[in-house]
Amino acid sequence: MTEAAAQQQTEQPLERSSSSVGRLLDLLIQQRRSLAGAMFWIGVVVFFSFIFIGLAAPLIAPYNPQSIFLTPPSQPPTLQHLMGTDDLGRDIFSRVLWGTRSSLEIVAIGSVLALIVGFPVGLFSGYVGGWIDRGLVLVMDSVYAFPGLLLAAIVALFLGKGVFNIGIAITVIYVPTYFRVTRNHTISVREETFVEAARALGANSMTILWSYIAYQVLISIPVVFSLSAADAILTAAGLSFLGLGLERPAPDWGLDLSDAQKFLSSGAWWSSVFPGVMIIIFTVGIAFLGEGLSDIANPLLRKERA
Amino acid sequence: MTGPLLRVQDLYVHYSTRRGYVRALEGITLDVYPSETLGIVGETGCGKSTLGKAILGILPPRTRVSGQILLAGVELTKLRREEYRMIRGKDIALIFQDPMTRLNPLMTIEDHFIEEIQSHENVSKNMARERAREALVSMGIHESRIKNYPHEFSGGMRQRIMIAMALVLKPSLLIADEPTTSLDVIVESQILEVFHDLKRGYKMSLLLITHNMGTVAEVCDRVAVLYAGRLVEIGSVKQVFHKPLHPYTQGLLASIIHLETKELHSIEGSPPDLISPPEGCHFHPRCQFAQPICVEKDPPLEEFEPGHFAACHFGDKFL
Amino acid sequence: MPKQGSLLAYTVSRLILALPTLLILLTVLFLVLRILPGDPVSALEAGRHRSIRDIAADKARLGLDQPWWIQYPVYLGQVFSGNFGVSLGSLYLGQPVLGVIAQKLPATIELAIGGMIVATIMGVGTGVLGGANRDKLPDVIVRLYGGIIWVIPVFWLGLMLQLVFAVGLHWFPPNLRYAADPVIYPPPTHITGLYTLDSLLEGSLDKFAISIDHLFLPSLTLGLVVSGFFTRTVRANLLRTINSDYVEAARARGVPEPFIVLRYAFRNALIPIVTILGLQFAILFAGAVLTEKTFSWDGMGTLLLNSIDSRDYAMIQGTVVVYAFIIVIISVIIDVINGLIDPRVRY
Repeated sequence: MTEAAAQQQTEQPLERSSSSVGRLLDLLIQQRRSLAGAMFWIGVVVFFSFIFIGLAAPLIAPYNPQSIFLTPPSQPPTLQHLMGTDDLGRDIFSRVLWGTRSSLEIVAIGSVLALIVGFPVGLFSGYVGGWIDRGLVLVMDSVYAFPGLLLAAIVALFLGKGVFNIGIAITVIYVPTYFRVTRNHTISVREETFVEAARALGANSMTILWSYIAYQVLISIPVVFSLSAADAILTAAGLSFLGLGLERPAPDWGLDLSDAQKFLSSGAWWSSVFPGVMIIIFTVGIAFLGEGLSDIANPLLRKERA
Repeated sequence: MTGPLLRVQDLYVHYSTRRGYVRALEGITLDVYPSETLGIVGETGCGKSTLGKAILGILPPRTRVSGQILLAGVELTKLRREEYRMIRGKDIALIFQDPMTRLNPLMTIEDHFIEEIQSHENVSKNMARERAREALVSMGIHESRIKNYPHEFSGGMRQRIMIAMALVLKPSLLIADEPTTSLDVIVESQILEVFHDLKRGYKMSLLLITHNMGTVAEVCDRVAVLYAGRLVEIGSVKQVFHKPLHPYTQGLLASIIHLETKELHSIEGSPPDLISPPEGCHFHPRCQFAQPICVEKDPPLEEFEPGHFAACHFGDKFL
Repeated sequence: MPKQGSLLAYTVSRLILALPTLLILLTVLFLVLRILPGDPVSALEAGRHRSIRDIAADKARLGLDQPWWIQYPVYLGQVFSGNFGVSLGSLYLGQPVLGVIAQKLPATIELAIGGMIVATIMGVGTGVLGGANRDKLPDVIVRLYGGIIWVIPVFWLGLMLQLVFAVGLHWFPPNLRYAADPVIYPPPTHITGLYTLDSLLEGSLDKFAISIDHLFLPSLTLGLVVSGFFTRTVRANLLRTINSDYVEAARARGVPEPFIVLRYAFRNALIPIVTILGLQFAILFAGAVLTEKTFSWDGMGTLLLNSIDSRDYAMIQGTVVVYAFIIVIISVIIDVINGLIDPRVRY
């Protein structure tokens, strides 16, 4: 199979560097001109811009997001109010910048909690196998099959509003995602020769699990993280839009869109366009980051398994 | 001897990849005569499979092909697409290495046969079904299984089905690309038995691509040795096995386990990168007889005895 | 081989296999609804000013004053006998929960079907376009579409479509399932509850036109967002099957190219899509809730949100349990469809 061999050679022009993380970095820099590489780097730029906006919102927002201007409400964009004002006369630009903050906080809480729960459970499940594994897979798959937004809505309903509670509610959705990826990767790593070798050398199970497998499996986490984080932003905004997220008058994209909907028929397009555009740029950025990463990392993962 | 059935002349095939062109075949010239079996041998990645696909015209798009391929005097590479398609399966059939993945999992065996027959001949479904049944039975597969799906057969049975499909339109040339490599030893000998019978039963030429010298000795009349996209030696099986003229052929023959000495020789090193192959004779980095001239000059294919050609500067030394 | 028999056996086995999933979902919902925050009635009552005695009475009526090991079997009994009690909220006070749900369900089903139709047409269309033109301009556009469309918030897309096509251009009504005035425009008689289908059954093309008019924007909204997944999967699968061994073998047999594309590449590319379609329904229903809110579509999602607003515990529980049932039933149906088209699945 000449062409197959040639393809393999061409798709893996990487030098051997010490760790898989190092190899991944090499690849990311090498492939910055390919579509996947470009997507990844665009994603990185967007992601860090939003983190910056979130952190620096008090400094870069021209006005207090809560303050009400005495001009007639629902002004179209002007130089004073770059994105216009909303139905109460608040500056949309400032609100949109501040909204980045709550979005970031919720996603950070949700993702980290989901990782803390999903990763070890997936690792354990994939490593021990047997009926424990089958049972856990069944439970996680069942939860995964249920509309995440609804589940989060019910949890949020009982926990109450606020950034932290919504973060927890969102965790429920993404634990199965982290679990699934970790478990599947663990199973493939477990069969690898170096684990067998470690076992033959008499390493105990816990050592194998943590120092050999967990380290290898970690490489698949950034991809899951970025893809689920993009989805988490949407879910958080959705919860707020449904009135289950943050409390008014907090500046929040979903909440602002929910308010904008009431005045849509008046043609005040600016109050609904801009928060949505912010959500899209942010989620597209993170999704690009994840897509690019998985496109580039996947051959690497496959190679490691082979 | 009458004229050749298939004549391949100066065939070059270069695959386009991101790293550059892979020179899979470089100036292959060989003939296949009616009713003969020609073996093509070489290591993995030497261009054997490419040759079969090139003859059928099913190389991937953006592949550079030059040279001539004549079947019974007709220049195949100049045919229009539809004309070429009619040749495939009807005049030339190809059996692949891995029978497990070569059938459409969503179609029954019968569907495959009917589709193939109706792609080439204007016959009714019932007629086609009848011929499919005959072909399967002749390969030792019970006709009750004709409505089964590919996944319901073992590897050996699937290869029989593939052979039955290849033969159902009675092609004049059958190309078998490592037909037994992915099968176990017992099934392999059964399939080779089938090829023996074929030679007796059908008046058909067989191009048997393999890396196994033992298979060649068993089945073939003549043998061509490929190395790194080039033809390095061709001749009758007797000539090549008794007087291998190219050091690579010698290495291949030595790597068959010798029953008496039980020694297994292997050729040191690995085949060259076909994107940037070595200068001169492609084999020189692995050749124990290599001389300065081997690095500088590419040896041409010379006839050392009637019908026995080799591409080595020192071919006469081994004669 | 008796195909019918094995398909039936396969269907039954899928149904049996779906039972654990259903039970797990019901248990998870039970845990969330009853255990998680202490007790739900108190949590729900937090916003209302009612006496402790009233709250206690509500709890007793729902059986929430019992310990969980008594509540759990009672809950499962309720669920499987279809007796979810009566509504406690102001909107449907005293009405049987299941009856109210049955009224709202058709609207959601109609929206989900509309969304799936849009998603399938857009997704398969763009996916084939991209897969067939690998790395050329259409493929790049298709890949961008597939990468971006799913991260657009469904409610925002709905608002934008409303803004342009309803508020701006007046091509479509901005919201609701049917014309607002029931006197001038009476809705079709209730047969299936799907307005489009009912109006056709009634033989009224006018009513059908009104229903479709209202259904169009919500379906488009929901369908576009879900289509991104189809686009990516169809494209990736098509690339895989086009380069597959059986396609090469078919070419070697001289099978005409159109047959190769249809019977080999396309059919095989669609199979994995059917398999993962089941998971898309989770996204579809989540999206449907948001779409319903955006377009004031009076379905299950709106019912759930209203019940949350009016603190109607029985109704909330009923709605989510019905969602769980729908999800499980759909997954079984998809498995069976999969078995019908892929001979490898059933044995």
